[in-house]
Amino acid sequence: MNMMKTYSFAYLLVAAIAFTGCTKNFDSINTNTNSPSETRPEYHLTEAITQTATAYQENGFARRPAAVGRYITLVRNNDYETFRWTAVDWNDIYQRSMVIKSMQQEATATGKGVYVALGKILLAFNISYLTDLYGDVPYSNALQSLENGNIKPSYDKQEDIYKSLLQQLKEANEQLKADGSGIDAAADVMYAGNALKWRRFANSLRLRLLLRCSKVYPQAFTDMQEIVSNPETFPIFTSNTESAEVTYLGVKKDDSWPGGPKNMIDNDFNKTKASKELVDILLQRNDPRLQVWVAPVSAATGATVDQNRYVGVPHALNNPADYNGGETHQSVFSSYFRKDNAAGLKASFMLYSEVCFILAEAAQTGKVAVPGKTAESLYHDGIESSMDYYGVKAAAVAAGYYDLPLVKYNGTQQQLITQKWLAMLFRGAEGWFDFRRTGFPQFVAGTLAFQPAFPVRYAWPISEASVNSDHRNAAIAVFGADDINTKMWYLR
Amino acid sequence: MKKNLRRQFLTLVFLLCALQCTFGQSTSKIITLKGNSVTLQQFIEQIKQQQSLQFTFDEGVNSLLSKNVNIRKNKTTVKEALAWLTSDLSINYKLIDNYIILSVSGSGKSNSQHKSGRIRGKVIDETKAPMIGAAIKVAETGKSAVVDNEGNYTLNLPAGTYTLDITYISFQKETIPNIRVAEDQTVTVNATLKANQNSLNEVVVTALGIKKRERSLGYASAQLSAADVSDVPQPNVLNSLAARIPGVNIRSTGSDPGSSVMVTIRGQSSLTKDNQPLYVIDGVPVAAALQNPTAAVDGKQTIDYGSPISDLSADDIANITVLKGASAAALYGSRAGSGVILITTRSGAEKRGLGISFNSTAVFDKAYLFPKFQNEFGSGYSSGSDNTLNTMAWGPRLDSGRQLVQWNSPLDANGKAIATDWVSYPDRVKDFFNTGHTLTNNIAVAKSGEAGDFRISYGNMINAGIVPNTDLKKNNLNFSGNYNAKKWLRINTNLSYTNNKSDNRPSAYRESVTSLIYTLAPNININDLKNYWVPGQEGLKQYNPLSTEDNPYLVAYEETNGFNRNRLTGHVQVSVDLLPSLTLMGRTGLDYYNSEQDEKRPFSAKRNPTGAYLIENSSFKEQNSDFLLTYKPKAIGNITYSITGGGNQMDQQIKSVRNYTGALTLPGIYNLSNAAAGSMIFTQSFTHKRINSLYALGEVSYKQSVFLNLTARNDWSSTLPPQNNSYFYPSASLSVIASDLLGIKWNSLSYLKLRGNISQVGSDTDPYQLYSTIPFDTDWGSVKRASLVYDQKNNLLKPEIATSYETGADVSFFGERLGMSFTWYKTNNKNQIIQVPTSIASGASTKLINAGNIQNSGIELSLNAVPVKGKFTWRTDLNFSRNRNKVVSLTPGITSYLLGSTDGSNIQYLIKEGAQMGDFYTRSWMKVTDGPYAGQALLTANGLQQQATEFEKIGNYNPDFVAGINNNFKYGRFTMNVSVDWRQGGQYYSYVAKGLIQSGLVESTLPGRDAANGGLSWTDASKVKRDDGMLMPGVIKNADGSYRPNDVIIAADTYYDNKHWKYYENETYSATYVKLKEVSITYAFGKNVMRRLPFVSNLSFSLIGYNLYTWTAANIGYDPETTMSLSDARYQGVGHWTLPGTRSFGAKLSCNF
Repeated sequence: MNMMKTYSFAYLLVAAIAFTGCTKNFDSINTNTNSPSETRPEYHLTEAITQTATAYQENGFARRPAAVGRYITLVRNNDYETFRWTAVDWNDIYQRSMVIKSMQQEATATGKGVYVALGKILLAFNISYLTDLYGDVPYSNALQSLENGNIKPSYDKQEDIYKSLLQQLKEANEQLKADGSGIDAAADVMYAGNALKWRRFANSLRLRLLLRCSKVYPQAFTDMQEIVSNPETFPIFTSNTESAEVTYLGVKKDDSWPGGPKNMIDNDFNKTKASKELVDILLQRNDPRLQVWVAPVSAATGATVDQNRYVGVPHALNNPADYNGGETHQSVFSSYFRKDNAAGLKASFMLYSEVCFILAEAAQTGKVAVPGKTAESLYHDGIESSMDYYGVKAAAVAAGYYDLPLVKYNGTQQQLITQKWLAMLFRGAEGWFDFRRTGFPQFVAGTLAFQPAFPVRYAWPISEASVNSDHRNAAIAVFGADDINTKMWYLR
Repeated sequence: MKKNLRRQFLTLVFLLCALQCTFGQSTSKIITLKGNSVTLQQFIEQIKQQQSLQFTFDEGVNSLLSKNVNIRKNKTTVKEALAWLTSDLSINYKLIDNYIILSVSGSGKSNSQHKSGRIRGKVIDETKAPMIGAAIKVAETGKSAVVDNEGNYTLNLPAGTYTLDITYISFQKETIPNIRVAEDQTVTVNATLKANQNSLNEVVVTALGIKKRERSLGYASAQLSAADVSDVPQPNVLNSLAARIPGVNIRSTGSDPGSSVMVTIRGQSSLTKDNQPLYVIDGVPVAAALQNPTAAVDGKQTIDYGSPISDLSADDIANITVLKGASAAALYGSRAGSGVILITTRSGAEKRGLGISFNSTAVFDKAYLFPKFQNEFGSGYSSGSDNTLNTMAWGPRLDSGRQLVQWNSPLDANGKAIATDWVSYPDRVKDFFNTGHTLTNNIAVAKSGEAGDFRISYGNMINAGIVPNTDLKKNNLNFSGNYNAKKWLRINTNLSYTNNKSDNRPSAYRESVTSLIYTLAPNININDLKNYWVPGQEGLKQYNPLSTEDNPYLVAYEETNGFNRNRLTGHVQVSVDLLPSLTLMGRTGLDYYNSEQDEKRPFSAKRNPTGAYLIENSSFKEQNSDFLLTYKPKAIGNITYSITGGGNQMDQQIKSVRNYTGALTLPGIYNLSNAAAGSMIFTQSFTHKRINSLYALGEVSYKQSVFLNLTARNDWSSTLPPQNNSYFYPSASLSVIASDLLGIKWNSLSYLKLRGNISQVGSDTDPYQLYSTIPFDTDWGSVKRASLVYDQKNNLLKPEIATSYETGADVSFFGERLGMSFTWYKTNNKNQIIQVPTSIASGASTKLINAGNIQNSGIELSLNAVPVKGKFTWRTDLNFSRNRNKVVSLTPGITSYLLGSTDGSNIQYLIKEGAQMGDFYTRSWMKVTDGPYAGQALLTANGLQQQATEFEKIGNYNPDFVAGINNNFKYGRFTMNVSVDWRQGGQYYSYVAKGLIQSGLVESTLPGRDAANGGLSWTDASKVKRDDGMLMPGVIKNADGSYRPNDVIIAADTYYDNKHWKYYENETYSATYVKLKEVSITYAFGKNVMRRLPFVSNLSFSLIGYNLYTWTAANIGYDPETTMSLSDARYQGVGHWTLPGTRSFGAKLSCNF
């Protein structure tokens, strides 16, 4: 019996030491097997393309850019319209930028240089959108937390960011020209690995940025001239089929159009009315796009102010839902925009028609000459490609649209930007950006707006004041007050 | 020996099979004995004929077979009859299984007065500790002995019959009569002394399940008895802790019986962990109590599937001990940083012999605490407009005899809506909710004997919720057994299986039934929504003329959230006495559960037009294997000491698979194969963690009056980097029974105890925090996507360390008629592993670092008194606790830390150096900073408030103090218990109040709506004359920079929207409340009744109630106890769309056989 005791004691002691002392397998226990520690650049490419396109499109359809760009009027929860804006997070943009950076690092490590070039284009697109929204932002010291532990990036001046992005786009074009092979066609859900189309996108985007800063950047028109004069070196969009767009799949929330039933409940779609500005401009021109875009009012009688079949809601009213006798006398957007996916619904980075209007505006200034084109012909191309985009190219011609006094080219920036504004419906923030740059179309703030002036930027995220306060304060000293009315470099 | 082993084996089989009831009853069965006086042999024969019993006896008895036994009764029990042998022939009997063992005490030889014999034995207490120094006195001779250091004593006495009196300070005197001592014989008389009914001597379960006397503890201990837990059995036993234990704060997610309960002990100390205590059942740690709430498949509703700890049945609990401070919990290490709740389940050892108990409870829940809805104005835009087609309630006055076109107006032949009566439905909210009921039944069979004991219990709970079509069902099966295989070898086990399931749990948060019902305008009759399908389109299109929200009945009946959790917990423990003073215990315990969740959304649901379906399967497995070697050597003089060493390995694995689709192909087919092509989303995760530990504790005591306890523990955690994965932490505690030590003999003073401790506890982190991985995103069609994780990991992490100090005193007067206990404590949690937010511009939104020093300090006070004692007895306990939290420091360069936010990011829980955790901040309205109007609101030119940019503190969710009052009244067979929970101070923000005010649904939005309510006359922008004008208090800036009092009249709805929608401090309320928590009145039936009932030995009937009345300082119809956000994290101090407050009444029947 004592033997037994001794044995059991010894046994337990050995077992005890064995199970407590050993830490050898801790490494394998604490290895995360749920996901890989490294992946392939093409997985990140698809991520970057789809996330950028869908987020940019969602912003353009349902967020501040659509409201302050005066395409939509929200009749409930209308803070966007009353300019009761709180600071806006920029998380998604930097997150995508980090994905792109990771893609470039993986590409460099695995010798797939073509992804570095695509990364430059995608990064330029994201960062330009970021600086267009906020002005000065962290850029040259950004995205370094992982590599050197810098968790407090300093802010860069918009001017410097713009110059760098223009350079990046130029480099991407050159690099893809030299060798554009090796893009995974399946992963490239936009261009199926066609490097030439990526180059067109890179150069078209450069045109967008150059025009945006042309007022303060002397070299802008020179660079634009270089691009249009050398289409072999600097190919740009020449048709709608080359536009930078991703087709929605319409299967899951995140691959569906933001206005479709998967992403927007009835209540939200119904509270999003067509703006009075949009409906009136379309009505004045008997524009065939009106019927494609906007739904007629649902009640035939009882309107109090506006008896039209299409009624847009004015900006910043008291009780906008009560306007014109109630919501049944107001126009929502048509069922065209109420689908999860459809042929015409794409997540757009940039359209061919925008390039036409950019060049038209440049030509109109007389500082850029587009071979074989005039400002008028480019203006016409812009409208036509938009009509074509919405399937009403023939209808516009049949209705004599181009000969209407309001439409026929008259050489004014106002007319040109108004048409561009129509063509840019729900495309990112282009409507708002052109308005704050040119003042067209001439929007007027409604009575309930918290300020008479339209905001010209987003305030930096609230969190920056606590997590990056020194650099934020330094940026304020350089940039100006962090509010929605401070003009950024190229608007000054 | 062989026979003995076989018998013991048989015993084990019997114990395990639980078929052994027959014998236990046979000794109490009635037998018939013939004759007045029979020989022992005849006596044995007679019993054997009637009962299947075997007799064995020694030679001494053999020689007495012809002696006579007096038959005192002809009909009697075996037990009683056997007792006659003792008195007539000095024959002792023993019952083992079917055997009756007879032996002669003192070997039955003639009593010689001159030859000497001996009595010896061992005296122990209830913890089996030797009663060193206890006095043994022979009543007849006055001779005495003292128990030695091993607990033994010896008395040499002449042959004869004696009575022993055994006494020891603070223990009840034990008298053992009729000890026959024969010449040259040694009689063994062992005794177990019971402690006086003195709280100092109460046996307390401490860390690792070690039982100690209260007197030896250097920290405040708190226990709940079985009665505290099961007299008013709450569906979630944790609710029983409320108001009973100082320092413990309870907050629940809702009033539903299946709601999770959050327990915070001595304040929140960790910035990133959930601050929940470790739960230990019968010495084995089990799954964490809180599970993160899950957003339902539609993304808006949130479902609380309850915490696994609520699987416990109140009737199976023997007691609950709360280890509050780090010192008490130090031996549990890493996971005990927020305290430990030790739950001991019932065993068969509680009572000798066989016992069967049955409890049955029925409780009815009634919703009663609602926001104060208004019933004067119906849906619409303004009181002057006849347009009622709006979900807001700013419309025309109701019940004024008018008819208006409204939401459900029938159409005439031309399709034109017909006006209907414009009336209010004040019961629209009440009408929706059912009376919920909970039926609980529990039956337990227990048996104990020499060889061991067992207990089997089965419990069943069925609940129907107050929301139609919601339920909860629970089945528990519990087995516990102790088997004393040898004198030196004991085996015990506990196995418990629980099935917890529901076909539909009520959802909370936005778009839950509560939010849908609360936001109905007063002109809507809820009964008109009962048929929730459009006729002819059942399963395809919901009937919802309001169109913007789901029909609440559709949510209740079709948007179901089911779950099914199967859980197995258990342990096997072996104790071996290697030497009399050396015991080794080995144990392994398992907690395993598998949980399935099943969420359905029908076609035409608001968020999922073509339905949705989700299946989540998760499993949790935690295995703890440990050993403990205890050495309790001989005392040296007045000093006793013991040393214990042990080790533990904890291995935890969590798996989950969550698959869902947001679009079905065909309606009503809830199967993942019915998912729209390509719409399936798969997520899967697995985590694994291990902690190895070695620990030791030592106790030294002097005269049982001074106790010094030392502990030390070293953990090796798999979650920390190799260079830092081993960490050591010690603790020391001292207890001094000053009254005994100093010999204070003051009549009124029963005892005075002083205590103090200092300790450290180290802590690790979650698995996989050292290196980043790259997760896959959902597929884009057939293309893979990889995203990133923006929470930056850190492979240089160090363990966290908490240091705590505690001191206090316990004092009792007048024979314990009045007692008081006081504790002061302070804990500093340093080096916390926290994810500090970083600028996402850096590429990461958080970075994991060691930082911070959070301090909690506070006092706990409890008073207990027996103001009246006698036929009518009144006992009262009062406890009070107050905790103060302070953020001493964060980390260089970071002075504020965002713990989280709610209501978008409009309410932020900011941690600032020098401030308290629990503070919440928001942006107020702009104010004039100087001049005569300083402090007044600076309004826009339109007469509206505008938001300031800086965040200001508007409240803190922690109470200033928490108090509980428990009263017990006893009169004859009646007992009444009343417990009151009082929480003073703290604030909460109400999401619900904001929503209801903005929609004009509550009474507070009546002023200004029309002339009768004080509305001003004004003309709006459309030139319409109205009488619902209001003026926002404040001033407007003139063009010249001066200010003028606001003169811009705005509509009432604009006023309330502007005042409340963005200004969260206007919906932040005091969280002070007093709650009549539990009331029970019990009648215990007397022997007279019992005699008429076959088998029943104890019967009592109670009327019970809980949450009967709640008084709130805010008085707006919300229960501050359920203010906890159920969003992605559990933020306290947020009143969200949860079920209305309920009160519960019921009855309980208990009986024992």
